[in-house]
Amino acid sequence: MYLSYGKHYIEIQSYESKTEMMNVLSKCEGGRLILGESAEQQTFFYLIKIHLGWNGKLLFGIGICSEEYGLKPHLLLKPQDSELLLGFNNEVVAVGVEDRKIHFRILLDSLFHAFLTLEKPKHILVFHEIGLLALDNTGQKLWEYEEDVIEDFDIIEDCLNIKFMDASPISLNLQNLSIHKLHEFFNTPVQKIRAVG
Amino acid sequence: MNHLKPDIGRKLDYLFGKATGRQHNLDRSLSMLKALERIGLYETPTSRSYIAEHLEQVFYNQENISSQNGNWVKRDSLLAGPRGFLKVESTWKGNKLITIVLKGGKGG
Repeated sequence: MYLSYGKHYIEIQSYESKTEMMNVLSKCEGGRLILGESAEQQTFFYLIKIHLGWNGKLLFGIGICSEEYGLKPHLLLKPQDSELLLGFNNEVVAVGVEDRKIHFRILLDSLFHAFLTLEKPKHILVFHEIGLLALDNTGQKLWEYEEDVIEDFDIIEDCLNIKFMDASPISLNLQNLSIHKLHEFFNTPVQKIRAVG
Repeated sequence: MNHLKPDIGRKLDYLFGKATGRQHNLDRSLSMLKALERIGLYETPTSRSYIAEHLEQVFYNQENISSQNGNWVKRDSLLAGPRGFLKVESTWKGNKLITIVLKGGKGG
């Protein structure tokens, strides 16, 4: 099955060996990238094959060496920016489909979990095992919050409610970045909790 | 010498596949259970206290710090089981254990 992406279409395959993935990747004549090669424990391998243009014969391949730990990589399509956002191991990488280059790369403090796109404010939330960070469209880190293993989260109106394994749940207002903790309330902008570069 | 007592919270449950909440958490927790079982550490009171003791020793050892950011500290250790070893990467905030990554073997 294919995933339509503007004038391109995408195919995702997984492999148990790096050699197998590399063999297929080597046939992608439209460009090749390998991500996650610095991972200590490369367990599973994924290949994103982008069939370029209406013709679809020219392939741009992105290989991912995944550490897994029970977690699979995520792919967020950003067709308006001709970009793919990939979350795996402890990093997030944005890859341009037109220029076939890495646009930005962000290292996380723990294992990547999921993406969540917001319309208002227009942010991309990146959830990792022990926290989350907000990115703008260009990959600029806007704020981050880390506490403990995130068990669950939900958005109700403007608030992101997060339940942690060994810490009080919080409700983070995404408009003004105030945080309500269980049994206490404070109005501290998240930037003051953890400054970002 | 660290005079605080380590607080491992519910992280032993997390290690032994008993996480709750999102599917990501359950999958991650089950993968740690499988890793422990591969080295012969099954969920028994003995294994639980053995790992709790290991984590306590890790916390008190000042020589195993692999990286530090403020009071967030990452520590590396080696966990021995009846059938092998696992590398344990633990993250601490002060005396509180935040998370653990078990490394070694496929699916670890």
